[in-house]
Amino acid sequence: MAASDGLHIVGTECEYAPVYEAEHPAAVPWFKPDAVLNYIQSLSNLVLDRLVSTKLPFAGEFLGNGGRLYVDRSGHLEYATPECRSMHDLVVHEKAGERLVQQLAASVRRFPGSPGRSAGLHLFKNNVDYYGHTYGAHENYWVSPRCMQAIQQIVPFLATRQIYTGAGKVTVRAADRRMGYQVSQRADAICRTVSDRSTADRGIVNIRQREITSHAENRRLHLILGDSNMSEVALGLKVGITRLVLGLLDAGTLANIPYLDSPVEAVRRISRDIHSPLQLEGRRGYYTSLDIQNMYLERAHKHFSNRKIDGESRQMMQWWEEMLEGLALLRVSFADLKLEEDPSSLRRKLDWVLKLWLLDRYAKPGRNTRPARWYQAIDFRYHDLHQRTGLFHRCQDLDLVDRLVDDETIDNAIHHPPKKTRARIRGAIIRNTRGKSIEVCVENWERIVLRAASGASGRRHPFNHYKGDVNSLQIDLSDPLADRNTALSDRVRAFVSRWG
Amino acid sequence: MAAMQKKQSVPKKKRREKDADRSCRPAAVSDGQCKALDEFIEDVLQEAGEEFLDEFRQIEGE
Repeated sequence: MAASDGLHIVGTECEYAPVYEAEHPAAVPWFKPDAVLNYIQSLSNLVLDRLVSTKLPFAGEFLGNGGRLYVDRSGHLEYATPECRSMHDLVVHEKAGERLVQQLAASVRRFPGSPGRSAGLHLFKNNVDYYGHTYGAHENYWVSPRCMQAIQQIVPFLATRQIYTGAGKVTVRAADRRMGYQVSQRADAICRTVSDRSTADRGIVNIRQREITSHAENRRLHLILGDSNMSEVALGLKVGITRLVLGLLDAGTLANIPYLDSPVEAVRRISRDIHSPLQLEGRRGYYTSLDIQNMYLERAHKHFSNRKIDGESRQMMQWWEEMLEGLALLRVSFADLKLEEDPSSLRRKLDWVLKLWLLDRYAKPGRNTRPARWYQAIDFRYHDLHQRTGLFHRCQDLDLVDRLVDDETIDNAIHHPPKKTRARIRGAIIRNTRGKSIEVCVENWERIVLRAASGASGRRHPFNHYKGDVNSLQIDLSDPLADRNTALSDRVRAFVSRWG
Repeated sequence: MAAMQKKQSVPKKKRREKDADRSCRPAAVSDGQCKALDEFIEDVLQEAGEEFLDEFRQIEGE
């Protein structure tokens, strides 16, 4: 299936922020960035090191489910899902990553320097800390060159989709400690429309070219403006609707879509007020984020109305429409942390609405005398993955949120790759070589090298001069759609049989 | 924009809350759920206190 069919391969990368909750906080010199980095790295490595104690197969940074788990340059634990062909698979695998890292964190028993005490490690799936540092939740879509050439046409969509993808955050004005609320955690970190950087000068669209594939000249669209979602529905909407819009872009149906006058400013304004008036190039008057989303929805209706469309895409169209209708009826006051009217029960679906509802409950009469830090604590605890202290997961346990997938499916995805992409081959190789005398080097998403372990090769190969040619197997996974390759499977099986 | 105005003009049903806590409608959220949730929030905040936020410091990254 080609990208032009609108079924874009998708994957996400989530960074998890570690916090060590000790009886006596570790002595970290917070004013020294290097010391903070080392501290955060040490916490993340504690979690990552637990992987060896599990029965999960892995090779380097890659897992038996085709995903990738590692500590990134900023010291955060990061999970990248395997390549997925549907919104459902993506939600399942991002949630599987979330569950895996929490299981690993929960198994950390001791923290160096605190002998005899439980480590109390917490991982947070969010994008900003109390001091304003930000870290990412990235999306990757496999798109055609035509999409990349016309990528400006989806900037208004991307700038406004935060009204259903935002995770919400409490803000506190430095001057007077006055509280407020924003829809998006990442909005203030975006300062360009297009950029090739991800740690500074972040763009609504990131055009940095990396590996993934050159197959059929298609490329990876890398989006770094999104928030980390706890809600399965919000995550599904984010990925599912973006795939739909990329389908419209690929079909050339967005050619005359109006552009925002100031996209970066719009991102920030919408985050503070979803009904904020926005100006479009060449048009009079003002438009809201809802108007702009409805423009794209109307294009989608027009384009897909007389075409064959898969069930999931049809479902996404319906949810998109219902979500926009619900948001039009929503009444909020960010200055007072109030969710005034939510007739469509969006709090069951959207992170920023649920978080606002929780803050509103906490701030009800008799409780609103607490300092801003307590509300910030609720904000952060919303993203805590720990079963004892995680607020979103408590809401989920109390059946206060809608779900898209069940626990059994998520557990299964910790072990098994999604179907219909190369992740299936990658995962099978990692699983089937486990416990064998074979080194598995997953060099990147599209290349694996198998080598007979030195002991095995020394014993078995009679011609050392040529053994480098014979006792290794290079596996090319440059086609992300190839989920089966009989010839390759036979070669891997023969290699494992001979050297394993 | 016209489409949105049309949607927004749909007459809204006036909701009268018997419960003093309007954000926790009995039809949508039960008293038991509300109580469990409130206790959970109180416990988490009391247990962690303000020291928790002092610990919550990360490094900017991607």
